[in-house]
Amino acid sequence: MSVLAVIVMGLALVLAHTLRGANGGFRLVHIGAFALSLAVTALVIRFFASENGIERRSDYDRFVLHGLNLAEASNAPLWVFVGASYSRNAIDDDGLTARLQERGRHVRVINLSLQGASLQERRAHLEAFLARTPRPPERVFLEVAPEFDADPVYVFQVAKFSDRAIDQFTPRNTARATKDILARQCGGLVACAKAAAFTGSHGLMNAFNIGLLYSGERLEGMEPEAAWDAQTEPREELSEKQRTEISSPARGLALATQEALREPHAWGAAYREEWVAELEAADIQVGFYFPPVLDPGKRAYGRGLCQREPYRPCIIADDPELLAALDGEVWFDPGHLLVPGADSYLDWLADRLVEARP
Amino acid sequence: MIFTDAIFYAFLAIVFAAYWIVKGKELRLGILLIASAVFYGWWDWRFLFLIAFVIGVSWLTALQAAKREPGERTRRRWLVFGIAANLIVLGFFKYANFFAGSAAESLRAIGIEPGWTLLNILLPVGISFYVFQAISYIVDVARGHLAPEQRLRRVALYIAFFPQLVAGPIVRAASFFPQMDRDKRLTRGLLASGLKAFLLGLAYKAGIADHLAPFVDPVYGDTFTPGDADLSQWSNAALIGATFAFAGQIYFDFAGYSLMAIGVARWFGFYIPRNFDYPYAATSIQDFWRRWHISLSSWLRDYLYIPLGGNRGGRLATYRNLMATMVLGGLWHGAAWTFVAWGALHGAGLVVNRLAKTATGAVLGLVLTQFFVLLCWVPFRAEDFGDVLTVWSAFTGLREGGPGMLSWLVFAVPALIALDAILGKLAPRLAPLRQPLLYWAGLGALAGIVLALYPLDAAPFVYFQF
Repeated sequence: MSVLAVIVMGLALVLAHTLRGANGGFRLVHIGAFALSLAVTALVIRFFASENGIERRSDYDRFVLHGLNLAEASNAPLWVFVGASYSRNAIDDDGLTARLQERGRHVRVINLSLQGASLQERRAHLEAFLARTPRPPERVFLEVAPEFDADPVYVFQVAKFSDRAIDQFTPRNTARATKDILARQCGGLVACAKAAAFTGSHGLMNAFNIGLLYSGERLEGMEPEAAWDAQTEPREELSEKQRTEISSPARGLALATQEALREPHAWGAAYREEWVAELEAADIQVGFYFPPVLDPGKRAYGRGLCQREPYRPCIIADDPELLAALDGEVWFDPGHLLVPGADSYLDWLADRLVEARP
Repeated sequence: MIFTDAIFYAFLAIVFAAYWIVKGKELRLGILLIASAVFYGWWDWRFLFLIAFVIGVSWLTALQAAKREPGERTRRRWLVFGIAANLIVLGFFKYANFFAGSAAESLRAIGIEPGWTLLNILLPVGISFYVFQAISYIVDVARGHLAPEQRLRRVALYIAFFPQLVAGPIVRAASFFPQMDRDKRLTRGLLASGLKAFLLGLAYKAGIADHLAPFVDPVYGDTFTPGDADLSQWSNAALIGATFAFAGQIYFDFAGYSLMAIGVARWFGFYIPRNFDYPYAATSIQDFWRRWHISLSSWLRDYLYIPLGGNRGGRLATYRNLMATMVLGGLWHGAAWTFVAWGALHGAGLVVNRLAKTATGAVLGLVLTQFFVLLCWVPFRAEDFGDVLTVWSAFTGLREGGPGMLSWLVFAVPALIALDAILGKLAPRLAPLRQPLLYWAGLGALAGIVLALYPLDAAPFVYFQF
């Protein structure tokens, strides 16, 4: 509970006790006064919360704090990997930093990934990192996966009516998501109607600061935590079909070729383009990557993107040699690696990063 | 479904619209009855059978008792039957395991292994409230203070009226039944007074009580999952801070619920009496009980203390009656010896209050009373007497580790409580803000503040467990 919250509680008591029945009619102008006052109050609260650094927080903020600690503890150029759970289980910041140094690249790798993180969520947290980092990163690598590109309101697949979900629907994001939903980039009328309803309600909840002074806190008050999430025991046993997808390059490649012909999801592509432009305008080099998964379609989606990105580093883990090395007890589940799998991947990734053009 | 759930607002909007769209008293009451069933069944549809039984028994016994002449033995029998049936329901669901468990522990203490196991009984939400309401109806009819209601649906609505069904205030039939007969019109005054009470209640609950809960639950343990507390690990400052926070939480939570209930009832044209009158401004224990959970304390006075003899049998009998009333009042709150101790402590406080001949000054009375009330909240909230002693010893400074840093809650909670009480007392004397534009702008600002304080994961109301 912040001092601001206590002050606001006092204000609530003052208003609640002193307001008493109004004389006169109840007309449109009174509804207007109510709405205007509500909006102004929301803006004032947002201003003071922001001035005090009070925001809705999630684990992602802990990762940002950890990343900032890593950046401060090193004088090497920073390479930041921004993604979702694929990256959380695959990219060991320290492990990849050491591998790159062994290969002659003196850089500090920072993993900023959270499971289920939508593109908007990743961008917001990268911005939070950029706002506080002692020096801007030399490179930022953006994870590319089809499911996040396909859905402008992906967050609703992992969270609804929570701080994490509400936080993403800033006025800018809400307007953009609404525009994209209206353009039917959400898979059918029913899905679009649901997405529109959720977007509207979350946008309103964000605009009216619902719960901001309850769960909001200052970044400095949080405990840092590494995003790297080392998994040592499988979560599920892989089916024979799933095994074939990694061990039979022929089948995988056939599927992958079909997928690769597909255009990238328009929403994700456009969003990323805008994001990349913003980063490059700040003199940050941008690259793309996708950690290993069993699903050849997902790997192919990344490769398709790489075909359209000849000028930026683009490292998709669909190398048959790497995949062959991952044919064993290295999978946490079909989309995520155990530590031995991550080790193989990082060896391979370090080589590709060293080879990659700046 | 609780008042702070999003689903409740949808439910309320539907019921409100249906209630005012239809014409005719009985139809409206029917809508409220159906809504009450939905509201209660939302927790667990099986509870509906239980409340239906309580309603049916109360309606029948009151009718039967009323058919007999006053003083007639069968009238008394119907009264006893009605009360007993209600108390058996309450006793089975709330106290069966408590008494069976206590008996088993006593037997084990003398080396006898009891031959029974405890039942897995689900405590129906609000049972203590609606059973007391049902009993008051039967007793009022049997005493001749109230005409029996012939229509079962009206008794059902009185006992199950959803705004106050699960956590009170405990409403008397004599005040509720006439309101069912009254013609109701949706007026601006009705809307505004309902909104005012509801928003104040919401500010209490979501704006303050829920913000205090995170300082209480980690120390005392989660109210709804007993057995998870380990108070010994906390510093004295944390224990004292958590106790102050709990004193604030329980007041703002329960008073908040009561106000929201009053507000919702107003929107349907019903008046429910106030349940709190700034109890932390009380200057004696007697004063405290005139201000705290007024509907329960007046129920205990009218249906327990006075029937026991009240203050009519001399000083000792008065003290005995006070103690018995407060111990049973403590037990009403929960099936645990700590609640009995809480009731006994307050009973003792009332006795001492009567014994003390010299009147203390208002300030000293306020300080002594509130410190006593604060210490009494410890057994009310703690899971066992070991925890109670741990916290009390933290207050004395005798506990190892010294007093440590004083928690800021020790200042913030009394400040909020004082502000609330001062404003509550001053507001009626101030010139009311009757300029409509300013009034509605003020409501908008209040709504904006409450929304910002609103917890997304609202804690259940503390009194739901009772």
